[in-house]
Amino acid sequence: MNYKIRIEVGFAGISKEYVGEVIMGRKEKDNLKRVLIKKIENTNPKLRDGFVYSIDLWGENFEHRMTYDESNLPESVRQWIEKTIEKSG
Amino acid sequence: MCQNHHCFIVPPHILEGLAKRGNLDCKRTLNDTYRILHKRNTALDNLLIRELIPAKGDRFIFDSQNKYEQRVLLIRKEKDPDVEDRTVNEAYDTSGFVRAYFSGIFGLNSIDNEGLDIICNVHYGQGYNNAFWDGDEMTYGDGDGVEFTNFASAIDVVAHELVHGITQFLANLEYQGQSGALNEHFSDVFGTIIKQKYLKQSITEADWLIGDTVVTEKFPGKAIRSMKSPGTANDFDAQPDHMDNYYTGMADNQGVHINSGIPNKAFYLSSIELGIDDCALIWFNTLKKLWRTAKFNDMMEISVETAQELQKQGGINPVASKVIEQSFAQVGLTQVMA
Ligand SMILES: [Zn+2]
Repeated sequence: MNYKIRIEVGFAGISKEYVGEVIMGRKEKDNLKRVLIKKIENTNPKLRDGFVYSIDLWGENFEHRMTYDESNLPESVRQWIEKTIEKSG
Repeated sequence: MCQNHHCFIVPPHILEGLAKRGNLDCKRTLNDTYRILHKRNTALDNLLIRELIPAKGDRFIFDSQNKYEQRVLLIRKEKDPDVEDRTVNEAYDTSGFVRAYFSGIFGLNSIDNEGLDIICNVHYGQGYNNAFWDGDEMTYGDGDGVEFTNFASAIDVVAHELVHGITQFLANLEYQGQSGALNEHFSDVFGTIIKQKYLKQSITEADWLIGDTVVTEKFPGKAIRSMKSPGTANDFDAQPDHMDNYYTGMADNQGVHINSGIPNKAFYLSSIELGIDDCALIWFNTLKKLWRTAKFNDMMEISVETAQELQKQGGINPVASKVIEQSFAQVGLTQVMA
């Protein structure tokens, strides 16, 4: 699965982008897909300096883009982002 | 002419026009209308319940314990003695300093002028490189120790975030485009003023940097932003200092942290001529008159008008309005004659 993770805004206003390929087991992949396709219910228009997380995933008959803010980023997606960034070195 | 209760049925674009012409009732109604709308939309949010509890502007410092959660463990509250955790004490002290500044100089009762409690969350997340205001409270990361460190200890960062709260209640500037850049601008303005007060610096001693203490030696720059020389604080710093270089892209909510460099520079130029206290008074009173969708030209016009009013009252330098006009002209913002 190919990914592009973009973390932007924040107090510093410095954007970071991570692009690469990640190998995931079927269960992990299905779990992630299930979370990513869920409709975002709570956005917080009063958030100032919060990070905005954009995730693009594509490959293997799947293409998806999702953007979250600090108030609605699912914990499992945050963990996946952290793990993927860490792996990318 | 325009009573508050009548304004509720007037469409927002008309309210905005009237607010721009100086009708403070309409400006207040406009801001209230959006606030009420939002509250309605978030009726299930328990934040509303919090707002019903009478508050005294007390400080509450919570430890997120490196989780991505707020209000995890209350470590120190108002009047409590120092605790072991230095970050908690620093967040307590810096928040108190900001609160005292706004109370002492402008008579503001905490963030919302109604005694809203000051909630700070420290140690948020793991190596989290950020600080933010979420509409009710402030949250600070420890930084990754590689490029950033300890956001809660930096007086300008704490002031910046707390002023996002003040702006929300005074002007509710929309967080995109020019109104968003103004929102960022006011946070940087009072961040830098309060930093100078905290460090007991004169305007010539001050470095006019924002976030210089939250960057490490490995970070490619000396700070996050520079009020004196926007665009020079670090290798990523894309802030313009003139309308000629205005950022027109979509990133960063259409450049809220980028284009704020333009009014920031105007503030610096004004402060050098007038001193920081006169400028603080003018900027605070300007903020009180702005509205949700105000743009750079609105800010400039209102700040000149505000300076003229304060001059008449004899409270500030008699040439202040002229100096402000010239400062804005130097960054490419000039008044359109009616
Ligand atoms: Zn900000």
